[in-house]
Amino acid sequence: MQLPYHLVITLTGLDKLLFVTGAKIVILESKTGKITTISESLGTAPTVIPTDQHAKKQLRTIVYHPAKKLLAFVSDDKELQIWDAQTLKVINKRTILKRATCLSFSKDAKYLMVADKFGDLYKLVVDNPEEKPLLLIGHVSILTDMCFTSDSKYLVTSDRDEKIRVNRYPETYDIHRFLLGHTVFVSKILALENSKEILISGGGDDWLGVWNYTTGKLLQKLDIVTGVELGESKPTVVALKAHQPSNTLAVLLEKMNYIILFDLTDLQHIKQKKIVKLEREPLSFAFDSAGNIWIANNSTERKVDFLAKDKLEVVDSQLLKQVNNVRTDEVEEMFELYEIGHMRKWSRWQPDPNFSLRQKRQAALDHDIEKEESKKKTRRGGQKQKEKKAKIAAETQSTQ
Amino acid sequence: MADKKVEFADIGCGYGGLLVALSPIFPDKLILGMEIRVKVEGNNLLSKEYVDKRITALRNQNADKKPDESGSYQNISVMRMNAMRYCPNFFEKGQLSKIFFLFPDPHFKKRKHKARIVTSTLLAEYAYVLRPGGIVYCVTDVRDLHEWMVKHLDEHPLFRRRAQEELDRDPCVPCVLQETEEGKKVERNSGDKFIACYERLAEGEKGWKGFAPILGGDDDGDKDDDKDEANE
Ligand SMILES: C[S@@+](CC[C@H](N)C(=O)[O-])C[C@H]1O[C@@H](n2cnc3c(N)ncnc32)[C@H](O)[C@@H]1O
Repeated sequence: MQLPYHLVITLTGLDKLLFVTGAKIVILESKTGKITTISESLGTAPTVIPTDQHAKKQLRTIVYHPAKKLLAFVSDDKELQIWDAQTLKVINKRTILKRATCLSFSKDAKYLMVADKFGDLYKLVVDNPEEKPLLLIGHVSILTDMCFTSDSKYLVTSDRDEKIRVNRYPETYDIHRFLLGHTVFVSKILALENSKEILISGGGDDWLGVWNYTTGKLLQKLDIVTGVELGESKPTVVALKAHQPSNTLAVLLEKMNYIILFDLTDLQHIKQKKIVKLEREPLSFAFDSAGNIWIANNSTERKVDFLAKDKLEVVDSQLLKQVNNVRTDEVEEMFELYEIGHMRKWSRWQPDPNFSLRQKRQAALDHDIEKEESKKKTRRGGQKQKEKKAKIAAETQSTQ
Repeated sequence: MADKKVEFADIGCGYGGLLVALSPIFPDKLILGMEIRVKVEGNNLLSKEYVDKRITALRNQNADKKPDESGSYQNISVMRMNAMRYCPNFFEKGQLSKIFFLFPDPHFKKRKHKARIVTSTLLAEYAYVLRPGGIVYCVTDVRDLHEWMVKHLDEHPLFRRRAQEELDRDPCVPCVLQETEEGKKVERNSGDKFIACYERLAEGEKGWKGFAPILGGDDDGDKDDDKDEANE
């Protein structure tokens, strides 16, 4: 079974789009339609990846620095690679300490910020893989996303609790604000480029938060569930990006065949623009420089869909065919490409939105108590299971 | 009293000995104990219930006193919560003037060091709820943990260690050393006690580069798997 593309980004200033599939990167030149596959470890020809291998080699996250045309990406076996996006040559490689969740270049591209599953954020020197990483920030739960504000005065981080932290930069030991209001995990945050104050966040709540990150105020909640057939499930934001020249914000929800578009013309009153129904589950998307949207699907037969910017409808194009015709690596067995939704089972508490702050706090407490108690039970259960396993092992041995 | 905000936080307050000791010394301050544990050892009460009962009893014994009078015990209270996770949900920026970490769990195993309640990165969150000039008190009977806390606080640009003369003038110092249940236990066993107090500075140094990584073993997985002992 061919692997889908699970990430897509635009290489601004290079007229290229970048698609990630498994451990490989496929680059589409939008002027010529030329396709280039890059991979350090697996070679460029399509191969079959053994079941136990793909999970390790899978590229987890990728980031591009438009001014310096640099690419950085990490695989789940903790290898970090830095590439020159212009020449498509690797600049350096290094192994990082923990599995990474997200990356971000500093404005001058001297440093790369790497956040991990342990809630820590490290600063790495881009040019020097030998130099020891320094620890800048630590959250108590998984650090899910980060972004610099447009003036680089702050580095904002989000986590699997309901927190968003506005850290001063480079003095990240000094927290400017917490943006509190989400009731479950936060998975994506986005500081708008043409605004010094606005940050948008999404996670497991029914809405996106529009914040003033200097005052810490929640300015608006953007509904992301009305008009979306969720069925039994709760929404989980998997991708959140903006194209500011066309004042468009777009969001994808895990395993939901929609892309929801918002109009950013008036930042004080952001309105929904359109909900586009899709044929397949989207994994990731990117705006190209013109504002068209490229959507990577969780699908082998049609890997990418294309939304033309004026109509905001799914259309076909020659370029699209090029990228859909690429033969990607194959796996024997398909695996879960959505990373975020499972956070919900650990999420702390889901109080009614009309709860007062005080009630919310109480709910948080009650949730913690429940968690502690259920943990005790599983611990006891674990013991019982161990005993059971030992018993079965003993029995099978005696029958052999 | 009604619109006053909590100013002192005792993190991991256990049986509440510090709350009871500080209450009459600071009758005009609200003092909150925070405790994660469900049960108190050898006791069928929830830890919070235990401390609640203790406070209620003291209030009843002193019912003749005015609420803001020393010894009325109206200024102390306890909450069940994970202080490592939820401090910024409960306190505003700069709300607190004192934070106490008295005999915190030592987490001896190297791979558990990251779970310690004082780390360079978590200190950012304590600094956030603490006002400039506010004080952090760290007391332990475990030398290794003391050195750990000192190292992390020294490394943090927003904290300055207080000198011995400053400790000598501070009425909280005898309480943090002697008045908690853990402190008394250490005393009975004639164990060592180490103290370190730090002041929250308004501004940190410029040109700061970053903290040394906190190494907690090289196992992979995520934070909560690591914490969840059921997975071991
Ligand atoms: C060794 S006891 C010391 C109790 C008390 N401070 C004393 O000196 O008697 C440490 C306490 O910290 C509590 N604790 C540990 N982690 C905590 C957390 N994250 N939030 C609140 N309390 C915590 C433990 O449950 C325990 O009661």
